[in-house]
This record gives sequence, C-alpha cells and structure tokens, in this order.
Amino acid sequence: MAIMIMLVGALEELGCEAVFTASTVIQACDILAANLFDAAMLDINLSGTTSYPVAAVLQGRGIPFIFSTGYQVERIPERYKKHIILTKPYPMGELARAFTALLGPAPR
Amino acid sequence: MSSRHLGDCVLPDSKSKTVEQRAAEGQVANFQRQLGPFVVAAETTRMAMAFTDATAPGEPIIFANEAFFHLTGYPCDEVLAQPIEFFFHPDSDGKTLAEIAAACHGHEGGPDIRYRRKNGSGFWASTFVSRVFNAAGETAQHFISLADNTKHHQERERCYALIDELNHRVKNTLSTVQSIVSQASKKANQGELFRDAVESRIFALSRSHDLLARVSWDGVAMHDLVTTALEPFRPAVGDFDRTTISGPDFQLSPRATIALGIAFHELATNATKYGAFHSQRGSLAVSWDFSPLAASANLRIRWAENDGPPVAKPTQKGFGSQVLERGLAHELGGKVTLEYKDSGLVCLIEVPAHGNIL
Repeated sequence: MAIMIMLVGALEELGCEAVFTASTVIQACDILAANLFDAAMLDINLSGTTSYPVAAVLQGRGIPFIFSTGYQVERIPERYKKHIILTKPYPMGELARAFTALLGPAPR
Repeated sequence: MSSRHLGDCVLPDSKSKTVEQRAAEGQVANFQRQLGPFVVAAETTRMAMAFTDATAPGEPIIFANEAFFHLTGYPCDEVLAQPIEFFFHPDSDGKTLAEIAAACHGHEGGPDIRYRRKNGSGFWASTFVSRVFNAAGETAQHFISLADNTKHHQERERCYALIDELNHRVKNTLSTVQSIVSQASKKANQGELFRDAVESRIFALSRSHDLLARVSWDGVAMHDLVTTALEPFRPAVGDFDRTTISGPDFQLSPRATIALGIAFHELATNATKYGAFHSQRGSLAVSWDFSPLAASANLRIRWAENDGPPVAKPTQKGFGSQVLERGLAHELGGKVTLEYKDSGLVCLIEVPAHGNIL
C-alpha cells in the first residue's frame, strides 16, 4: 500500500496524466477494458496470484509494460525476461528510466 | 509376519522367459532354500527390494518383496519382468538414468530417484544398487533397494517455497520502508521531525509483522490489531480510559493486517498531533460491524474522535490521508470517508468482506 502511494506519486511527478491501480488480476482486467493506456507496470504477485494473465492482455493490446517484483528475477518465466524487470527495492530514478525506455522522453 | 513365499510369484508367461531368466529364477529358488531366514527378512522388511537379472536384455526384475509392491502400488505379476526404469517417474531425465546406470555399475552412493506408483502419483526413494556375482565372478543380478524419502523431499520443497516467499516479503518491506522515508522527506525539513515520522511508521510496520509472526502469517484478530496499533500512543492517550474498542472479533488476512495496521497508525498519529489525543479531554471510539448487503457483507469500521480540539480539513494531502483514501481503496477495495466535525474527526472505512480481508 505504501509502495503503491510512492509509485503513484513518482509517476505523477514524471508527468503521467492519469494513474490507475489494481490489486487483483480481475481489477486490472476491468480497468484495462474500460480505459486506454500508454504503458503499464505489473507487480508479479497480485494478492497472492501471478499477474501473468494481465501481461497476456497487455501484450494482446500492444501496451508496453515493465515488471516490478520482490521475487528473484530467475523466477520470472523465460518469455517475459525481455521486459524490463525492476526488483524491489529500486530507486525512483530507475522507474523514470524504465518508463522513458517504454515511452520515449517526456514531452516538454 | 507375511506368510507369502518367494515362489508364489513367478513370471507371468513361461514361454517368454529366456534361458538366462530361467537360470536366474533357479538361482532365486536356490537363495530360498539356502537362505530361508533372509528371504523371510526380505519379505517382511519395510524397505522395498528387488533383484534384476543382469544377464538378460533389459534387466528384468525377477524378484521383488512386499514392500516393493506396497510402495509402487503394483501387484507382483505386474512387477516381474519389468525393468526398474518402468517405475521411473515420467519427469525423470537423462541425469536420473545416468545415475542409476552408474549405480548399476557398482559406483558408490544411493541417488534419489523419482518413481511413479500405479495410480500415477510420484514418490522419491534413495536407490541403492549392489551386484550379485555368480561362481564365475560375473555380475549375475543386481540387488536394488529403495528407501522411501518422499516426506523429506516434500519438506525440502516446502522450505524452498517458504524461503522464496520470505525473500519476497523482505524485499517488499524494504520497498515499503523506502516509501515511508520518501514520504517523510517531502514534508519534514527538520531532522528531528523527519526522524520521528520515519521511525514511528517503521515501528508500526514492525508491530504488524510481530502480530503476523505470532500466528505464522495466518489470521490476526481484529481486536488485537487495533490494540497493537494504539499501544505506542498510550502516553498520549492516558491509560485508554478514554478509548473504547468494540466489535465482533474475526480474523484478518495478512494483507488486511498490514494495510489496516498502517491506517490505524496514521489515524492515531493524526489524533495525537491535532485531534482527540492532543487534549486531556478528548476520547476515541473504534467500532466495527458487518453490514449485510444483497450479495456480500461489508466490513464497516468507525473511528470517531470526540471532545478534542476542533478539526478542519487539511489543505494538503499528507501520507496519512493518502493511506486512507487511496491506499485502502487500492489494497482492500474499500471506501473511506473522512468527516472533520467540530467534535472531532470521524473516519468511516467500508470494505467488502471477502478474500482480501478475511
């Protein structure tokens, strides 16, 4: 919860116009169905289940995304290893770099 | 003691026997005659044992004991004439085969091999292979014994899973601490205020962890959570004589324990700085109930301060109100209403009472 508040704050500071959060796969899919997104960030563990179903939806819709996790990187399936994976805890500067890599530099 | 004899079990189809197999069987019959007590021992021990004919193609099993049938779930007539590989689990890889081959060739050590039962389930067994020589000094048979250590393997798997989960939680906690520090640094430019803000929240987090540790991360009682969250404010609150805590007791999930623990801490901090705990006369009532709705029940928590200094809606949203309004909504799918009344702050937390909470 505190992590989510920090991330939302950091993303807003980076210039994200709207930041949506979800704590379950179902919530995430509902939000995805109802909104248009430029990019996404997935924690691998969503309320005890993996967020890979959400990753599949994002891939299907062509929305770029990064992972964030407290697990060791080795646990992540091979097919997702080409994505940027931030392992907790990470500096907010790295979050900025990851999103810049996904979206290009922020418009001035 | 088993009354069954070695001779009860013979190869199913005598026509398919090779000369070598017949010879091997003859040898087993010899064992039986010469080594009567040992055969009984082999029959009654709980260690699974089998002899294979090392001279026949595919090394068929020519004898297996009761423990072997029991462990694999295969009856005698389905065991005999099969090679030991027949019982390997389908997941067995080249390494397993190489290990058993090495063992058959007299190498030391009893590799752990995964086998399968007739019903498809798997089991692990330390596998010891020794050679039985004939008069000419050639390997006539292999004696294979299996010590079932499935339980040990399951324990080990569970340990790995726990370590993995622990690592995950440690990393998340470090991230949470990072967030606490970054929040505190936004507001407090004075060293001491910063330290207090960081410390008190880290300790609050730590107390929630203590609660969870006490129940092995399995269901903290709501009443305990509230009491523990308020405990550090005891000096400010007096001896809780102006605080009432009431509601039906129920068990919170680890997720809800951490989230509500932070929320109560922020409310209590706020009450100490500006609200009921700031004055000598102020009082607090924390209560909760379950409102039955059409489909599911909602947990309703009411934090009501009274007789404190007048409170006003803050102009800036601090960590506390973010935790309450944004955090609980995200974490528990809840709705939070903050009412700044003349009598004091009233915070209503309403969360669907399903998997996230209980």
